[in-house]
Amino acid sequence: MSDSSAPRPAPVEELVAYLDGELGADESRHIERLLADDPRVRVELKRLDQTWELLDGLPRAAVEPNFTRSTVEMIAVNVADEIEHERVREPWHRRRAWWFGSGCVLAAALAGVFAGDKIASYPNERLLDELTVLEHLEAYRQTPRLEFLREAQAEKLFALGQPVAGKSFATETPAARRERTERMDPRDKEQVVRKQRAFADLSQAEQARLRRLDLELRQAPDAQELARVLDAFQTWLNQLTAAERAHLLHLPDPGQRLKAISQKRAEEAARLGPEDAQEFERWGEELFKRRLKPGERQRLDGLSAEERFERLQTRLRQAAAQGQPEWRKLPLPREWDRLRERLSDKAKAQMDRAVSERAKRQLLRIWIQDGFHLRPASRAAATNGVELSDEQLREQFRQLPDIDQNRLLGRPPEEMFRALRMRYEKALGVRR
Amino acid sequence: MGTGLSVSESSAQNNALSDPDVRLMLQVRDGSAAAFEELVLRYQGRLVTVLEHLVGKRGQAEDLAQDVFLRVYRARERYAPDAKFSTWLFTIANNVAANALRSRSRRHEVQVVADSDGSGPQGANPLDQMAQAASGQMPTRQLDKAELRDVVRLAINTLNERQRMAVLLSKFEEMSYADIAQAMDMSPQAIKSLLSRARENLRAVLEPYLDRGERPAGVEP
Repeated sequence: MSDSSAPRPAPVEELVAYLDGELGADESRHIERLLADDPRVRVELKRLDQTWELLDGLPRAAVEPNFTRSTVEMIAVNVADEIEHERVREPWHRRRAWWFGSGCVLAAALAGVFAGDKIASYPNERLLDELTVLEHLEAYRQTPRLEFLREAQAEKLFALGQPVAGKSFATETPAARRERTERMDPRDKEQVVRKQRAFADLSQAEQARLRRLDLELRQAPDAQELARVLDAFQTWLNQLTAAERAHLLHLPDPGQRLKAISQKRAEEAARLGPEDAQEFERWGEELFKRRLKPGERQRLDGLSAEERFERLQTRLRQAAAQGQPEWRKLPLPREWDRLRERLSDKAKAQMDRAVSERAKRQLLRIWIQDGFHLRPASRAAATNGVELSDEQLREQFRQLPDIDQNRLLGRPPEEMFRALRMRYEKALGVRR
Repeated sequence: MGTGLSVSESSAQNNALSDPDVRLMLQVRDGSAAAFEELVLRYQGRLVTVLEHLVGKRGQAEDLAQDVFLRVYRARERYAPDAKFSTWLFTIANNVAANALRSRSRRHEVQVVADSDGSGPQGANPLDQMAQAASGQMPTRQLDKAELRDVVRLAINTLNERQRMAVLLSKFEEMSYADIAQAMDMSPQAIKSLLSRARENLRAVLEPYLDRGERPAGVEP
């Protein structure tokens, strides 16, 4: 420990703020000058940083799977109790209003979130009646009217599956539907039951709208085609996180929603292949390193390649979260050209199409998200050094219920891989 | 927003609306139970982590986390999106934890350093990463993982309640000073000073251990 009686070479408060990236440009430059000139400041900074980094080792809590259930149930009971308490204090003629008030309905909805295993029979008539709505629940919710699907098709937003004669849900007979439902895989059954609960959570007006839409689709002259668009739309929506779907759903205008979907599809199309992604990472690492403050760069050089990469990722995320302007700047033209030289013809063509500053920034953003963050090495680091094959990960992912898949997709990639690995190990009975 | 936050500029609102969790909370306000469940799923681990390091007991941390979610749910109708959802959530968590710690001190309960018998999350997770990082910094000495974990826990427990909360929000939630200030109802300048003092205190406990292997009082060899 340093001698506390010795004069401080620089205010600790400023050094801490510098390490936290909380200083303005002028203040940062001042600290960097001090760092360059005074070895005591460098030592001070290093010691502060070292002890702070030890806290990274404090583990995060992993809550038991039933914690969510007990939390939601506790809240449902609590809210219901409050409602009952208020109700008995109210004059009788107002009580009816309490029971039909939103609080009670919400308490019931909360209690119902986990009540799925209490469904009396499967498939029941109501489920059969609503099956196609349930199977395409997200897509129907995002579809204000049939014309929306036609416009999506006109813009070729989704790759449609091959038409199979007599196999479309739009023309399925009730008997065929029952048979299909009975033959469903248990996981699919569970998913349908879960969606039935979600459907029941919707307002009566929205439920009626979705049923109407389903009926209109079946009666439309282009029913087969629309059903394929809806299938493709639903498949695509399944890949999004709940938050992404909520974002789309919140766009009030169908035109805006189509535009947002189109933009997202374009981002997906712009993703780099593995070799390009690797080149892009190398380029990115060099570029970001040049933009680091001297102290940070020095510390980075002392780390292993994997640690360096992890650190850069963290730095990148923090900078993005804090909106630090120096990290949002576009690379200089020569750096842009340097990147272009490294990439395949396909990626080069994408770069050439991005003419405006905005388009360039957008392309880099996509590549940073999809390439830089998802490289195999980061998976290895996320899984404590043990690499799982893509197929193993995919299989692990496929085995999860829909709700868990969405939950995982909502996490940062490294967390997602870590969670998948833990499940993988658990399935294998590996002890840690 | 139900917690006394006063940021109301339209730019702040626009920023908040770009937060997917804010949009989920707006769905909760509009009556979606599924959106509430999603928020619980997203934040339960993060919340329990911060609360456990604050109060030192896993069971109590889980109870407090449930209390926080209950308050979130009760406040749903008054919810206004004028900050990031996480900032709002941790504002509530800060109040809940402060109340709990106050009641505990009224009961003259002794602050218990988090369990070291493996019953808490600390025991459940290996510390490979930390040991690796730490041994990289100290090539001459191989750190004992469990011991290091205890020393770091002890260092955290030497901080006062406010310092600990600020440190946890900064380290675990990677919050900016402005967000921490909002969550703790303080000014960003006060948070800057608070975090600086906290880091000096941490260094005072951790440096002798890093340099010479001197264990702080309370950590068995």
